[in-house]
Amino acid sequence: MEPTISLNGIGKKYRIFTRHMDRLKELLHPAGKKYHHEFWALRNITFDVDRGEAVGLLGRNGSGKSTLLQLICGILRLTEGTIQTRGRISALLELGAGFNPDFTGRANVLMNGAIMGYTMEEMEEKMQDIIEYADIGDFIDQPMKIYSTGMYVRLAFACAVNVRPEILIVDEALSVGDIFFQQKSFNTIREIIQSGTTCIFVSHDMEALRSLCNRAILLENGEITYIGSPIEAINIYSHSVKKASVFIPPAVYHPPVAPQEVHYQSRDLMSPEEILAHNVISDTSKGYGTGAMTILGVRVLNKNGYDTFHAEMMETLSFYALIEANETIYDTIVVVNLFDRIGTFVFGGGNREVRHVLPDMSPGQSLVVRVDITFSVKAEEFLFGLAAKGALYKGAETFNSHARIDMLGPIVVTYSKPMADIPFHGIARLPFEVKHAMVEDTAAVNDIS
Amino acid sequence: MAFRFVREVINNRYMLKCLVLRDLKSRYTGSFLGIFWAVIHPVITVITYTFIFSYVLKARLGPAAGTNSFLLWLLCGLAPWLYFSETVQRNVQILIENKMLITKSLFPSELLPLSILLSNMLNHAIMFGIIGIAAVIITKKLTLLILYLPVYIFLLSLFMLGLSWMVSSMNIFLRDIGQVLNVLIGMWFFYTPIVYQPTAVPEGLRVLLKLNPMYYVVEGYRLSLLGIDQAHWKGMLLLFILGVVSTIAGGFIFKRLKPDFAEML
Repeated sequence: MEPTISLNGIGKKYRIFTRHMDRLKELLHPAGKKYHHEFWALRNITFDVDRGEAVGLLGRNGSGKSTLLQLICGILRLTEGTIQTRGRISALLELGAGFNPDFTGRANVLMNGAIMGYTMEEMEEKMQDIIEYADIGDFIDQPMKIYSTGMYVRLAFACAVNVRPEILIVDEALSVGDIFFQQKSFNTIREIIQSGTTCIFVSHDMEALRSLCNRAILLENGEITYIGSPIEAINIYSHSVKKASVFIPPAVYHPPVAPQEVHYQSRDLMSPEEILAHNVISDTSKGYGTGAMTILGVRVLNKNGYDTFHAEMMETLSFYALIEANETIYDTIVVVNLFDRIGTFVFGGGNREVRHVLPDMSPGQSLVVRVDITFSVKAEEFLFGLAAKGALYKGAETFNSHARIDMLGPIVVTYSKPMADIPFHGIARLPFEVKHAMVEDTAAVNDIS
Repeated sequence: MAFRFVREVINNRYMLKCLVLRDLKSRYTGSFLGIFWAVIHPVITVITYTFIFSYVLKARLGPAAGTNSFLLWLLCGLAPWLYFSETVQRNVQILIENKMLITKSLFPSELLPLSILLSNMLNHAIMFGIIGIAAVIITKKLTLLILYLPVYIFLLSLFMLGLSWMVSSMNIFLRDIGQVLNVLIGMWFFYTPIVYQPTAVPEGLRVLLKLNPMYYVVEGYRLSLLGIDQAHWKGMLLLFILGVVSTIAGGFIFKRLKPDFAEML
């Protein structure tokens, strides 16, 4: 079978001109004289996308994702290589950007269809579906400038998917609209992928990518660094995002080394050197607190001893913290906090919550603390933070936050097993159990009811 | 190329209609007198000029003018000029105004200048209804020469389409073009015999006048509306050639620059 989208060694070169005039001169120069410096936004991109396949594009800002989509759509001119696409392309590059706010919703839908190559009659047929899907009622005949953002987005999305394109291209547009529409749009996308539409997504929403895509492509500085399973791509990507600020070797086996002298409380704690060797705190991490304590380092390992911010649902990650006291601290407390994507405080837990007493500390002393957290939460991204607290005199009632660092991570929780085996539904797994007993006397039950 | 463009226009006729309507609406929505401004503006301009030239400067029309009414005569010259200048000046910015359409969707941007042209043509048509009526009332004659008028409008539009494509696409790369054009059009107004008769120009300079395409347009309009019986075949032929050359050149430049619009905007 012929692939639906076929990219062969494509590259996009931006020409950097020192003067604006040079650009015009070069374009109109009969002999093709060059006036520019070159910048390759994309280079050597080769991949095929088969019919009905969903491919996610990952990469940091400026890695060339959006440029790639614009090239596939044909909005930008290719510098080298070839792109072949089979079928109509429906593109959501910034939701509703191709819409004209002065026109009515209906006129915009018709024009959008015309751009995609549908006749007026075909679009009139689809109109009712689109209006229903977008759920905007009589507003369809109002100019779009009076639409709310939600209506705008809904109509744009409805328009893009209801024309049943052969190829759907979505740039960072999946996480718009209210949660109901989000769900609806996710379901629709799944549906149209199943019906054979080929999809390409760009999203920083890892959860969306993981659940929708068969394949993910990781772009870095305009080149493909990975093509393959979405989970692996997310893992590599999460590491590379972190790498920019602080070096963490990705997925290298570092078994906890048993210390020679047992001055730690437990054998499976790390030495300060080991923590600092793979410290996830960068210089840019935002820290605050009274300054009576310092968080010197944090290291995150999974149960296999890999340095990672990725956890499969129900998997445990170990947070190792190296804390130093600058003053005398009584009733030392170390806490790990989790926040979700929109900043909800999901969980906070440390030694005090499990009645684990940490020693008092005198100035200059340091302490290694390990907090194991089982991610019995839904598959999503979380940011985490650490706080070190304690009393400055014995028997104090209030505990000040002496050192605190937030916005670490993101920790990506995934679920990749069959949905039937999912350990819980919803946001978090609360402790629960199920019991049962077979009723012997069915007649008695019937009597009661 | 020309054939493809015509087919594209037919395929996108609904879009073109929307664009034209939008332009017309955006011009007059919210204003109390609405579409009447299309008439009020040129009429007031003409009255002002008539006052200055006819009463203050005591300019008198020669026999070649075809009418004694300075007002009517001026109106015939000014109408095509306003059609021309408004269209071209607005089209210079049209691609930049519609940046989002061009950078975020596969939009047939070559339709934008055409839509402005058509919308101005409609404005223009209203003007012409009025001038036509005024001409009949004042000169008390209606000749078949008026049938030349659509031909002149077509030839002028062809010339403007090419010019619009040229300036609108080049203006993306060099924004100075819009400014330069404004200055040029200001000068061009006086280069064209609108407020003066070509016969008033010294013999030696009249050759220069004939290099100006707008000269033939203005003369053609007056010929048709005022019933001066001297066919301008040469002028018409020149306009036709110019129109075709301008459309082809404009179309070529537009097509050549179009793939880089999204990048430049």
